[in-house]
Amino acid sequence: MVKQVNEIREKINLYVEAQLEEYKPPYIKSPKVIHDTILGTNIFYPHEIMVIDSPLLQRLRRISQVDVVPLVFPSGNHNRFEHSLGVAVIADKLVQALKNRKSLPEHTDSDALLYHVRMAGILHDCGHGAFSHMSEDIHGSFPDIFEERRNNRNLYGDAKPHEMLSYLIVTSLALRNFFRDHVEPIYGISFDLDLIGEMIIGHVSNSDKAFWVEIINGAFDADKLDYIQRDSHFTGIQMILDLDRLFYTVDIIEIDGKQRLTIDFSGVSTLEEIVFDKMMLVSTVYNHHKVRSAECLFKSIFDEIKENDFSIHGRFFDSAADFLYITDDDIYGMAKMTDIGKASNLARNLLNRNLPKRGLIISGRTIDSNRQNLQQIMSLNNEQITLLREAIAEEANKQNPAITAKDIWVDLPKIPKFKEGSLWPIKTFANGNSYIKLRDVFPVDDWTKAFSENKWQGYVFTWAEFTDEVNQAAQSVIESAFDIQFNSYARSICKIT
Amino acid sequence: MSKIDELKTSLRTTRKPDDVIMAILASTSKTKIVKDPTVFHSAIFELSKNESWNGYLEDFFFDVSGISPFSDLLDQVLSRLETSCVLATPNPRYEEYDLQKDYLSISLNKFDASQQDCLKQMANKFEEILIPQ
Repeated sequence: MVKQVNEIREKINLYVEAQLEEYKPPYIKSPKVIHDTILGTNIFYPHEIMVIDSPLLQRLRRISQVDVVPLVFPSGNHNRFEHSLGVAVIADKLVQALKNRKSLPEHTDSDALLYHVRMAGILHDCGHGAFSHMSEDIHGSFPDIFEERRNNRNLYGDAKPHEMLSYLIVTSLALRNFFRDHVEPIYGISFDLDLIGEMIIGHVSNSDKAFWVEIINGAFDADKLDYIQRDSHFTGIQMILDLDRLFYTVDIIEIDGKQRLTIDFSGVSTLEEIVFDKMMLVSTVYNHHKVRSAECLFKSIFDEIKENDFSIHGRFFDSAADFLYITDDDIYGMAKMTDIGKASNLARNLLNRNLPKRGLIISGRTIDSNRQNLQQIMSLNNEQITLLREAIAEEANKQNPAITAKDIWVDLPKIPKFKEGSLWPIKTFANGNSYIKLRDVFPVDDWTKAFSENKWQGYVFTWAEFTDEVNQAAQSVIESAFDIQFNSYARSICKIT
Repeated sequence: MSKIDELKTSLRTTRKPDDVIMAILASTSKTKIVKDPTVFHSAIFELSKNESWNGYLEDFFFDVSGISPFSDLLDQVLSRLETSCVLATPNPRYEEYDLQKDYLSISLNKFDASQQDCLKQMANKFEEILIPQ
C-alpha cells in the first residue's frame, strides 16, 4: 500500500526510538504468569514479556483507562496497561473458541493467528496520551492527524486518533528494527507488523484475514469485551456480559470473499448485552456531569499551554505525537510547576477535585420551544463554542465584572455510536453462508440510540461562586442566539442556590 | 460588534458537514425516508465516491471494514438531527424518518445557486439509492 510521507510519521519514529533507546531487553526463558482481577491467571509468552517490559507499554500503567472517572467513581483506578493485557487474553480465548468449534478456515496458521492477535492486543492502546480519550479529544483535530488521515483515507477510514497513533508506532521503522533485532532472532517468531497495525485501526487488506482484524477491531472485539467488564467492575456499575455464551457461538463466515468473524443466531443475546452495556456505561459513567466538567478543566490546561507557548518537558503540544511523551502523572505534576501560569492552577484544581459546577443544562427536555434549533447548538464547532463562552461572559459581566470567558465552559458531548446493530453479520445456518444483521432480528441500535439521545445533555459549567450570574447570562445569550426558550428544569437540575 | 452578534453571524454563514446532509435531505422529493443506518451510510458513501461531488463530503471518512460503510461523523450528524427532532422517528417504531423540510431547507441558504443545483443532483441520486427502481 502506497502511503504519503507525513511529518507525524517522522515524529512518531523519533518517539519510538527515544523510548527504546535505553531499553535493554532481557532474555526471557519461559512464559510468565500474570494475575488479573477480571480475567484470572494467565500466561504471557517470553517474546510478549519483552515487549510488555518496554517503556512503550510500561507508560500505559500511568494512563487511566477511564480518564478522570475516578474523581466520581473512586474505585475506577484501573489503567491502560492492565486493559491491554486483558485484550490479549480475550483475543486468545476467541481464537481458542474458534479452534474448539473447528471454525478456522482451512490453511489458517493457527499459531501465527494466536501470536498476532495477542501481540495486537498488547500493543493496541500504545498510542494513548494522558487520560486516554481526553488527550484524543484535543489532538484529534490537530492538522498533522487530519493530514495523515486525509492522505491515507482508505487505510484509516474513521479510525480513532489514538488508534492511528498506535498504528504509526507499530509500523514505525524503530519498532520494526526492534522486532528484527530482538524478537524474531531470539524467539524465532516472525511478526507482520503491518498486519498488527491494520488490526488496531480495523483495516482489512487481506480478505483471508478479515477475522484476524475483527478479533481486535469489530462488533464483539476483544477490546470491547475487556473494557465493558473492566470498567463496570472497577466503577461499581454492575453489567451483565455472558462471555462463555459468546465463545460457544463464535464462528467464521465468508462474505464477498472475506473470511469474517460472526456468531450463531443463538448468540444474539450476548451481542445485545454488549450494546446495552455500552449504552449504560456511556450515560452513567463516561458522560457523568462531573466527569464532563473535569474534562473541560483538562482541555483548558492545554488551551493555556498553547496560548502562552508554554512547554512541558520540552513539548509544545502542537503535534499529536507530543501527547505520547506525557502520562497522567505529568498532568498532576503540572500543579506544582511555577512557570506555566494559569495552567498550573487548573491542574491543581483537577488534582484537588475542585471542579466547575453546572450553570445551565441544554437538552431536549430543558427546551420548550423550537426544539429543532437544538441541532444548531449540538453542532457548534470549536470557534463558535469560544464565541459562545465570550458572549456569555460579556452578558454575565453586567452583573459581575470578575467573570471571564475562561471561567465558563460549554460542553456538548458526542452521542455514542452503535455500529454493532448494522455492520456485522450473524450466521443463520449451521453450515451455510447466509447471514443477517443484528437489527434484522431486533433494532437494538435504534432503541439504544433513542435512549442515548433522550439522555443527552449539554452543559454550561462555571465556578461555584458564579453559577447564578452565569446561569442567567447563558440562558439569555443562548435563547437569543438560537431562538429557543428554556424551561425551569434548565436551572433547577443545576441545584443553584 | 458584540460577541453575541459575532456568534449569530457565524451561525448564519459557517458551513458545516451537518449543512451538507441537511441540504441533501431538503432537496429530496420525499417527506419520509427509511430509517436504516446501513442504507443511509451506504447512500452517502456512494455519493462521496463521485468526484464531482466529493468536495461536499470530504469531511466524511468511512469505515469500510464491516459489511457496509459507516462514518462516525455522519452518525453524529444524524444523532443531532434525531435529538432535535429534525429527523423525527415516530415512537415506538423506528422504521422511518419524518423530514422536517422547513428546518432542513434553512441550510440551503449557505450554498449558492450552482451549489444548490449540485446538491439537488446529489439528492436525486440519494433517493435512487434509498428507493431502488
